[in-house]
Amino acid sequence: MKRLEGKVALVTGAGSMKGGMGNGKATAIRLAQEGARICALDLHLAAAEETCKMIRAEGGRAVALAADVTQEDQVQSSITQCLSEFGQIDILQNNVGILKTGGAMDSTVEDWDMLVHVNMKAVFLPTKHVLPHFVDRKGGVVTNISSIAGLRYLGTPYIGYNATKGSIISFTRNLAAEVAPHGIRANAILPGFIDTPMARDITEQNAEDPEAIDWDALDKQRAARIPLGRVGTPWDVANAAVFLASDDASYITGTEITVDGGVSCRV
Amino acid sequence: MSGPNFSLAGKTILITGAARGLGAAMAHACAAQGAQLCLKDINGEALEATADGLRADRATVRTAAFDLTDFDACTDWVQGIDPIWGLINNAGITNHGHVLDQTVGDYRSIYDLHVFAPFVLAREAGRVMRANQGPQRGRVVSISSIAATHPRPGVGNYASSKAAVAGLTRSLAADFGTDGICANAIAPGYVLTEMNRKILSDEGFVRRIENRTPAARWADPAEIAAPVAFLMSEAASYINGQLIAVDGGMNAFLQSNEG
Ligand SMILES: NC(=O)c1ccc[n+]([C@@H]2O[C@H](COP(=O)([O-])OP(=O)(O)OC[C@H]3O[C@@H](n4cnc5c(N)ncnc54)[C@H](O)[C@@H]3O)[C@@H](O)[C@H]2O)c1
Ligand SMILES: NC(=O)c1ccc[n+]([C@@H]2O[C@H](COP(=O)([O-])OP(=O)(O)OC[C@H]3O[C@@H](n4cnc5c(N)ncnc54)[C@H](O)[C@@H]3O)[C@@H](O)[C@H]2O)c1
Repeated sequence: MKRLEGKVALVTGAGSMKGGMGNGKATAIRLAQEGARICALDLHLAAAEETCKMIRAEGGRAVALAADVTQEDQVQSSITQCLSEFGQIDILQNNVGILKTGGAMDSTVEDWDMLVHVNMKAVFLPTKHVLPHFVDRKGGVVTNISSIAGLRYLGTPYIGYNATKGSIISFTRNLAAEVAPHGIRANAILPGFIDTPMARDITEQNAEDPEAIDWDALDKQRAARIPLGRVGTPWDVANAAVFLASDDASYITGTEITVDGGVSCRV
Repeated sequence: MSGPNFSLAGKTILITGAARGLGAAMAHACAAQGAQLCLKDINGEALEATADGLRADRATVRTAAFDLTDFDACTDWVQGIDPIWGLINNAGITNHGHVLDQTVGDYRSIYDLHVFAPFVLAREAGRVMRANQGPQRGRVVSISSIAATHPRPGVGNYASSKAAVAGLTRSLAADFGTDGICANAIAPGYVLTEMNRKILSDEGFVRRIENRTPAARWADPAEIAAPVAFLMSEAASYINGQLIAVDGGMNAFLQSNEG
């Protein structure tokens, strides 16, 4: 039974670094498996194309769009392209996010500005420009990817990233209250420790000797703190996105869904 | 590549307070995904009527009528069922009053039903779920309330017991997680059920709730039941220890005037 038959989803950051499986890519694929037609947007066209290829191989419909979500004109033209391709948009999945290491004392102003610029505009701009269309259609769903890093310190100094991810929660709550009268829902997903290229990349960047990283040992160490005993996969995040986009979530708005195996509910 | 799905085919799910309201809606939502049901309620007659309706839709349904605050009966009920995939702690009551007017007994009777019975049922069901095969072995979903975090005046025993449901849920998640059992709670906003019959007859109150809910309406029971069915499914396999608001945005919204 397909839950999103007839819907169109715009997924940002729908490619994945280094060809692996990221949260946006998995979400685009799962939304398509539930019947949605997909606009897969990414900074890197080749990465978005790769996602679309996988969707088409399963019989789904998808188009790749190259755009930088921090650039208003590119966001606007992407939405126009999506509308001319499929005639409508029902689901906006704001998945773009970047991560930089640093605490309050050692973060540079450049890094700070970059995190705020990308992570905040990544939710604001696509939302701002898709809303007029959602209002016309008297419905739509916005799902923003925050993180459990937005709730508390997770053991590595990511102060800029964590602050922007925390602010996505308040952005989403305010958005939900603003647009509910139009029948539009907005929620945030807070992934926990998810095995994606981005997560591996930052671990390598922070290691003294990236070659010497024992990934199995590291995964076991992380898993030991997680009640469910494993690191998450992008599919875990994608399934929550499918649920939130579906009519099963018709009374859910202004809410956070944490997908972290329980790691944030214990000490 | 395709992830786990939303189906509940072949999974046995226990639901308390299933005779009417949210519990009955959950029974329908789970049955629609193929679950086999073990329903219980204190009201045997109403429970049979609900079960008959489900059977007419070809669901497999077993029923049990007893008072959940009889903890030995709770234990016997669960011990008679094997295998078990899911437990939904839904039965609830209200007995409102201003803090100055309430007794320890008023608190205790609510805690018996909302906290102690779910604890006993989760303990017993957890024992059975642990014996399931594979990495995913079970689910517990308990019904808390928006009152757990945002009570209105005069509901201290109810609201604090619903906060305890969220606390119990986090501990179940921490204890059962390594067994592949996920525990979560749902915090509904205001729903059109019999439980609210009295307040629903107060026009002014109905409007006030609408004004404080971004969705500007009360929930239909099916809108609470669908998220519960999702949490029961393998698609929700990495969601654990959460209190999830299903409230039309009420928790995200603080009305600054009486409106
Ligand atoms: N991996 C984790 O453990 C984890 C945990 C919590 C939250 N998240 C969040 O999940 C989201 C996706 O993370 P991921 O790990 O899959 O990352 P990823 O880096 O694998 O994928 C992100 C994609 O976004 C694209 N992108 C980056 N900047 C862009 C821009 N300005 N415009 C358009 N596209 C852009 C990248 O090209 C990349 O393909 C992020 O918001 C991240 O913060 C990840
Ligand atoms: N209706 C709402 O607005 C709302 C909002 C938030 C939370 N909730 C919670 O949702 C749950 C279901 O509420 P509802 O609105 O469907 O209520 P309801 O009164 O319509 O149904 C509750 C069911 O529980 C049964 N029950 C009561 N005491 C019992 C006992 N001791 N043993 C066994 N069964 C017993 C009743 O017979 C009834 O069938 C409750 O936990 C309630 O607190 C309801």
